[in-house]
This record gives sequence, C-alpha cells and structure tokens, in this order.
Amino acid sequence: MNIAYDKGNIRSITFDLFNINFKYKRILLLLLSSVSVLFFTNCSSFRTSTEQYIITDNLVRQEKYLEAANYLYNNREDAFSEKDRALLWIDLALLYHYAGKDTLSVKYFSLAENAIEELYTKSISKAVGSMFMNDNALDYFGEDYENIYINIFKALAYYNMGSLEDAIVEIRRMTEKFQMLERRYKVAYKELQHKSKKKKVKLEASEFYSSALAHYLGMLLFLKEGDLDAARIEKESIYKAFDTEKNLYNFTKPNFDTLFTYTKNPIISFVTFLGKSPIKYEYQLRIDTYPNLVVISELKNSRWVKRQSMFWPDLEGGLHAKFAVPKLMKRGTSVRNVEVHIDGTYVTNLTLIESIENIAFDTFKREESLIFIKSLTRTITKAIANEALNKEIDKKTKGDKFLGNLTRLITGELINATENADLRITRYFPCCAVVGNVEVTPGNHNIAIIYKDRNNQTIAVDTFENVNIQKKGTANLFETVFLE
Amino acid sequence: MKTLSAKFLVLLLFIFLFGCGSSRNVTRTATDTTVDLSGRWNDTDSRLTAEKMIEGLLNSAWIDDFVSANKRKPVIIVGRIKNNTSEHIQTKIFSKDIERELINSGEVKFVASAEERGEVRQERAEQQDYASLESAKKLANETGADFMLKGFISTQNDYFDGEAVKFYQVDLELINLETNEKVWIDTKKIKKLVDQDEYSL
Repeated sequence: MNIAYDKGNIRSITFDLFNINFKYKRILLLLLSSVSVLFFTNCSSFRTSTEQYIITDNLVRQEKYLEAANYLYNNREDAFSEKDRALLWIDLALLYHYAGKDTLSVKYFSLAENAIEELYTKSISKAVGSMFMNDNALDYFGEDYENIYINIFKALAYYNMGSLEDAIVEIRRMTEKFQMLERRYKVAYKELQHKSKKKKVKLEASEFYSSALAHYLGMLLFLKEGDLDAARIEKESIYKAFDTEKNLYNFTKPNFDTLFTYTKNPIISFVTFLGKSPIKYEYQLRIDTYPNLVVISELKNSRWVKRQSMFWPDLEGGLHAKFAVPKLMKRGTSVRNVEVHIDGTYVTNLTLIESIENIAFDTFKREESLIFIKSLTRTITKAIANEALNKEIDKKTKGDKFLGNLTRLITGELINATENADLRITRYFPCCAVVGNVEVTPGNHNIAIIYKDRNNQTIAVDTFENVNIQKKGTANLFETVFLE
Repeated sequence: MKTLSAKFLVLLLFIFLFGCGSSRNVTRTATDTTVDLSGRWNDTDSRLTAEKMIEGLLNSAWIDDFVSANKRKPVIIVGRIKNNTSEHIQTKIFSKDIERELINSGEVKFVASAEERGEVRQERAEQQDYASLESAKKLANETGADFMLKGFISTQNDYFDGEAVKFYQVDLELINLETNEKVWIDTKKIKKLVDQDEYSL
C-alpha cells in the first residue's frame, strides 16, 4: 500500500496488491478505524465484560467471601465503569454480607438502592448511544428482582447488627417497592401491547407482586418486636403469595401457625440461602429481509433455523444482519436437602420458601419482549442505513466491485460488532431460600446445619457451637449460606 | 454523502468515549437552611416538627394544671420515639431537637433519658470512692420525672411514574408516670411531592 501526500494531507492511497487507486480514503479510513476501535478495545459501552468474575467466582466457590469482595473492590476501576455502579455495589454488598461484614454490606446496598432510584431518570445521551450500539451503553439499573432482594438482605444485615427497627424499615420499604412495581408493570404492559400490535410479539406479564421470603422475615421481626398483629398479617401474606403466585411458588406451602401458639420455650428460626441466581447468556439471531417482510432465524446446532417472520411495512428486501438478545440461564444448587441437628440429634428439615431463580425468570420475561423488539428494530435500522451508505459509495466509485465488497464487509462487521446482548446481571444472589423453626429448651446448644445432595450424602456442614438461647434472647434467627 | 457518513462514524466513535467523567462540588451552608435532596425525612423536618410540637405542648392546659396543683415546674423525660416508617430515620436527632426545645423554653424541668442515666450513675458511684467528700454528689438524690414524652413517626407513601407523594405523621403524647394518664396528644403532618424527571441529558 502506498500513501501519497499533498501538503501533509493524505491525497490518495494506492493498494499495490490489487493495483487500485482509491480516492474515497476518508470513508474507508473512518470505517477501518471504527472497526478497529470495536475489535481492539474492551469498551463496556458495547460489550458486557465478565472476566472480572473469574477470580471472584473461584473464591466464592471456596467460601472465601471477604477475599472475593476485596478483589472486586480493588479491581472496581478497571472492571466496572460508572454506568455499571449498581451492578458492582449489589455484588459487593452480597459478598460482604456473606462474609459477616454487615456494616459494609449495608453501605453498598444503600449505594446500589440510591443509584437504582436515581437511574429512573434515563440519560438521553446514553439512550442515543444505545440506539447506535446496544443496551450495554445504558446505565445498569438492576433487574426488578435484584431491587427487591436488596431490601431482604439489608434487613438481614441490620438484624445481624442488632438493629431490629432498621430491619423492619427494610421490610416496609420492600412492600412499597412491590406497590410501585405493580403499577409500573401495568403501564409497561399496556405500552408493550400497543407497540407489538403490528409485530405479533408474544407478551409476557410478571406475577411477582409479593415475596414469601420477605413476609417470612417480616413475621419473625414483628414477632421479636412483640407486634403480634403485624406478624400475623405477614404470615397471612406468605400463604397468599403461595395461593396467588402459583407459577413462582410451585412447591409445598409451609405452615407457620405453630409460631403463634404460646410456648414457654424459645423458638429458633433458620434462613438458609442455597446455590446461585441465574446469569445471562447471548442468544444469536439473524435477519433476512424481503419486501415488507423480515425473517428471523436462530442459531441451533451451528445452523440457522427459521424462528419467525414478521410483516414490516415499507421494508426492502435483500438485507442481512445478525443481532443478539440476552437469555437467562439457571445455575441452581447441588443441595437437595438441608437438615437441622441440635446437640447432635436430627430435629427437622428446612423447607423451600422462595425460588429466587423462578422469580428472576418471571420478572425477566416481561423485559425480554421489550428487548427483542428494541434489538430487532435497531438492527433493521442499521441494516437499512448501511445499505443506503453502500449504494452511495457504489455510485461514487462507479460500481467498483472490489471497493463495494470491501465497504460492505466492513460496515456489515461494524453492525455485527455493535449488536451485542446486554449480559449484565448480579452474580452472587442465591438461587433459593429454605427456612424452618425449632423449639428448644432455654440454655446452651450446639446447632448444625447439614447440606445433603441428591444421593443424601453430606456435602457441607455449618455449625454454631455453645449458643445461649433464651426466650427473650437475641440469637434466635440463624442465617447460613451455601452458594455451591 | 461523504460528509454525512463521516459525521455518522465520528458520532459512533464519540459514543464510545462519552460518560467517562464526573465532578463533585462541595458548598458549605448554614445548618438551618432547608435542603431537600431526595424528599426523604431530613434535618429540617426534624427541627421544624420539634419546634412546632413543643410549642403546642407548652401552650397546652396541662402545664398550668400541674403548676397550680404542685407549685413547681413539671419534670419531663423523653421516652422512645419509634420509627414506623419505610426510611431509616435517626429518631435520636428528633429526640434531641425535642429536648432542646423543652429545656430552652424554661417552662419545664428535664431529666436525662434512660440511656444517658447509666453513664451518669456510674460516674456518681465512682465519685463516692475517688472524689473529695465535699465535691462527691449524693446517691439516691435524682429528680424523678413526672411525665414521659413518647411518640412515633409513620409514613404513607405513594409512587407513580416518577412522582412520589411522601406523607409523614408524627404523633407525640405526654403520659403521667404515676397515673398513666395521657395529658397531652398532638399530631404533626408533613406532605411532600417528589417529582423525578424521566429523562435527562
């Protein structure tokens, strides 16, 4: 390649190999530089980065939660940009909570909650960015279930810090969030119905209006405070969640009535978090257009298979482009049973009260339809703009085949490179919660929580030794975590 | 077209680079200035509520009744101000605002709260061993309170589409410690409308 200069400016580029004199150097240079930027930078504005989790995942696997949190914190400037701050703070808060550092946990949960609240105001400049690029350019304001569970874990953190009043505040805060979400869901559903009228997109509505786990904690906290009426309302709300949100609570309804009958002995309660919440993966799609019609194909076993076709008025044929949307993937838990042993004797099994992964899928399915329409529209717009640009270049280059193919290749890659799914999601929420209550005699006890797999083999044990339990003692809620 | 496509690509490159800056300014302000940031309960709510409610407390009939019956000023202790809201309100700040207004009024006497008493009692006990006879304070000579001021703060919030109505209600009541008689009850309500823009640049 030879470059000819005129007063210091590039006048023309000659490709010796093909013996082509190319006059439209500015366009080609800009295209090449854009593609280079896309390929050689790791800009989080167009691609979700997950490399920072490799080491933290490994530390979490070893239950080294404090080290995992510290690693994430120390690498925050390299691994997270300002728009991803809520994501960082939620994961940091969770890891600090699991490590027993509840003051730090509350601090980062509060930062995340405030950020989510602030991010109700959407940045127009970032929205414009996302129109050209993808949703990675937007601020991460948390999935709805993440926003709700912040308060559950904050309530537990305050409880551990000995502040019952603040723990109850979190339960009330969560009730307000549910009311807010219910209204927002209804409005968004109507908007989506309107948008999708012509596009025939499948609509999904969320069922998540109340959390049994939140009400369980509320019940325990109000019982501890001596507010029996409030505790009873929370208990009824647990049952109602099981009765009305059947897809989310598709397991046996627990019974907590015995907690409301008088006993002279103290009752200890357990909340155990198991497994890991779902993460997102990229689902590849392709569009091929025909006059007034777009055909969408999906990649199955390395082959493009037609998924659906849509009427798209005024669309010209012959456009092709790829795009990707996020999908959720369960990570689950290897634990099938959790036993409570007191002073060496089996007492009870803990029962499932919340499948956080069920709830994550439920709240995400509402977003999924919106993301699909948005990504599809963006890809078609980019493909139309790309074709217009290439036609113009064809005219200027008088139909130069090599140049036409080259610019089509570059701009096509530009579209493909910018169409990445937004895979941002917190990684360290558990997949489910199991609970239980046991009556014990006042005095000192050794408590063991035993985790068993599907073969009923013990895979882990958590112990609390020589714990003094009194009727009005402070240590009557035990929280354990086994994220494997 | 050449210029247009160049602009388009420059815009694309610009998008990669935006949003990477932030700035922070700190401005000192008077402590009695009203600053509303989030719409949550703040120092101004606490101060204004305490001022208003104590004004009502001191202008109520109970105080004249007590003075004429006992020929002395009533002694008050501030009990628990319970937070029944969905916000982390520092009720101690509110309690202190109430104490300040009561003491500064000169109309009533005031004794230390249950939390504060422990430290004072320990100091007095140590004085019996370590202070001179003349300066050591007597044991069992505390002033007992006649009334306890208790209360709670509640909220009723409503949110929709970037707008929030925050309604706070502060209920205070003065209870005669000997008879359990409630001699004064008052309520103060605060309503705030918080509007958050859906879009910003």
